[in-house]
Amino acid sequence: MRPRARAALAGVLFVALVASRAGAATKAVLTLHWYPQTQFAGYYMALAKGFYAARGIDLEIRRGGSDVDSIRELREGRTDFATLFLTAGILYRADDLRLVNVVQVVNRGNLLIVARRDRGVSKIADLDGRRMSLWGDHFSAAFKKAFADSGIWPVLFDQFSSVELFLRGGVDACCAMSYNEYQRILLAGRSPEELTVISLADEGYDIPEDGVYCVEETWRKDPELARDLGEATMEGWRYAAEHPEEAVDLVLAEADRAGYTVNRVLLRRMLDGILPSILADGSWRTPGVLSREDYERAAGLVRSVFVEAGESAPYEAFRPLESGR
Amino acid sequence: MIDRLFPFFPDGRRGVSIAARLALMIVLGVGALFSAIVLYGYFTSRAALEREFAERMENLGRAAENEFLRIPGIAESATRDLAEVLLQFSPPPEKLAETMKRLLESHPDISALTIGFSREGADPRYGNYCPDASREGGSVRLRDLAGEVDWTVQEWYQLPLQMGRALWTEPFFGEGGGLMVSYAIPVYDASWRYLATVCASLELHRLAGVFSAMPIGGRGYAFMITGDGTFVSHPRRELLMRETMFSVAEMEDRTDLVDLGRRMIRGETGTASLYDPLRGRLMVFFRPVGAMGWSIGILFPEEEALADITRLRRVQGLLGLGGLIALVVAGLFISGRISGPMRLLKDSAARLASGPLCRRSRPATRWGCSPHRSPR
Repeated sequence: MRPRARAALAGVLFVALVASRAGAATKAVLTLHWYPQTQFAGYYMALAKGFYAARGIDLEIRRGGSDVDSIRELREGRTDFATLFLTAGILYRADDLRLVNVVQVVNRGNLLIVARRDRGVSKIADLDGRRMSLWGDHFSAAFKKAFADSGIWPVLFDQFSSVELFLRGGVDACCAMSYNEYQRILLAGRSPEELTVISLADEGYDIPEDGVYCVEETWRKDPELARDLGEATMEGWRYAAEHPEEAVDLVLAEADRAGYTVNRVLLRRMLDGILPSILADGSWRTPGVLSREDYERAAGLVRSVFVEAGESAPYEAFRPLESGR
Repeated sequence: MIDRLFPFFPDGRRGVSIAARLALMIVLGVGALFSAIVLYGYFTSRAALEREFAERMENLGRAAENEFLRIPGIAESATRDLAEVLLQFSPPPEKLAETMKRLLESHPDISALTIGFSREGADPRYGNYCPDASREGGSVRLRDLAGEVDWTVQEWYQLPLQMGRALWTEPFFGEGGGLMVSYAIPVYDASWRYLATVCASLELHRLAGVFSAMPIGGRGYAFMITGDGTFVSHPRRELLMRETMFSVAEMEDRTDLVDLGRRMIRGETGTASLYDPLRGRLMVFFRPVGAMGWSIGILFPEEEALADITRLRRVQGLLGLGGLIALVVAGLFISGRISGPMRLLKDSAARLASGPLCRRSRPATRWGCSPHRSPR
């Protein structure tokens, strides 16, 4: 057979193979818990590069945002998978919503307290009686535990989707993610010298954050699907780490499509900031894996902060992948 | 000529003649004096022109601010009126909505009026109520947002409540995708319980349009940033609402923008010099916009802003160069005349010293000395 004919035949076979895989692909929906930003670069990259498709998953990624409640989406079956904070996964796992951790993407805590130095805040104890804005719900767990352990209680204000109250001087301190709100504060012209930055991880509250969750039923029905989704997601993150500019371009385009205005500098800073807590280097936690120690520590923290939180599920039930269930 | 100015010593080294030294000293002395006068003149003229530029820009900035604030002023007074109605009359919900509709109809510059009532308020009629009057096509649409959104988590509701004062929000994308900005005031009932946030919204392009349409002149342009440094008006449309002064500073590696941005968001007024790799050196005047927390900048290429001083500098430079050349020529001529007899004397002494004494020495009549015959 001539080389050209051989190449054409190979092409036809490849297309046929791809078509047959696509035909057999399992449809699934993943809902992210916020608007398109590089906090989710790995998911978008895995989709764009065909890492999900290569594992037979026909995935649809839906953006999150202030108008999307991921827990409700899972509960009502409108999504198969959703990204959640670990504390949310623990807090909202209930009899009627048996959440299962599929892949633990952000494996280290990035929570910060950012305070104005000119208001006399230089350490966590200085916040006693000071005005501080704080996210509600499960996001506040580590902060409230840190306040309780330090024997302090700031005057708390609700913090929603921006740090505007802090920027306008309405509060002395606010909560922030090191890769997101803190960068937004700096890009709004505040210099690091003006700010006191307290890392909760450094204070002993190093709790893993974003992970992918599904309900137990989805897991039982097709454990391979969940496993493959986790693997493809981590491959997407590795690709994003190796091609950061491509990842920023992709997420910027996604953000534009979603009508979410964000700039390239912030997206790049966000990506650079989050990657170290996703991809391990050496003796650190295993990428993608929620360890038993981390889970039990996070579950203990949730129980100590939220009175409504019941008994936590055993690690094996929360993270069936490790137990081979 | 060179040999006369820089003659060879007997040992073969090249020296500096007295004429050259004299000329150099004259040029240096007079040149230094001349330069000092020119520099003093240049810097005083430049300072005067900069002062004049700042005054011109101050006037322009004030005019821009007045023009710009006309519409926000209307929004502020309409919001206050609505809050007053609410406090004084506590109308039933349907009457209140009707009042809002009439108020919006009489203020064409305002896009929407909204009242977000506190869910913990004392008046049960307003318990879960968020009336909104907004423009839709040519008419005003009334609706209750309570069934659609949770207004209590939105910035326009929360910020006045948390800050305890009236304020302008950061721009945001409205329902139709257009950029909006809201003026919101907190309202408390007679027992100081939080009653509601009353808010008027404007389309940002109407505001920014007023500002960007202002004639600045020459190659100058104006821009506007919010209290967070976000561009809301700028000839580079790709910056609007996406970039801050500080993200642009990082992208373009320009630390001078960081310093300027910080001064602007602090609400300062002043002038600054910037260097733009594409446009060269720029002069910018900046001042805050009313009480909105925003700031405007008016920017000109420095060569345009200081065109007079550039012309003066060029003329002075040419004059200085010409004067210096003339000074060198004059200095050389004068010092040559002064040092001529000494050079002759030196040459004769050298010849005498080298003997034989029977040689005739050259007469020095050229310099007016008495003719002298040397012994035969």
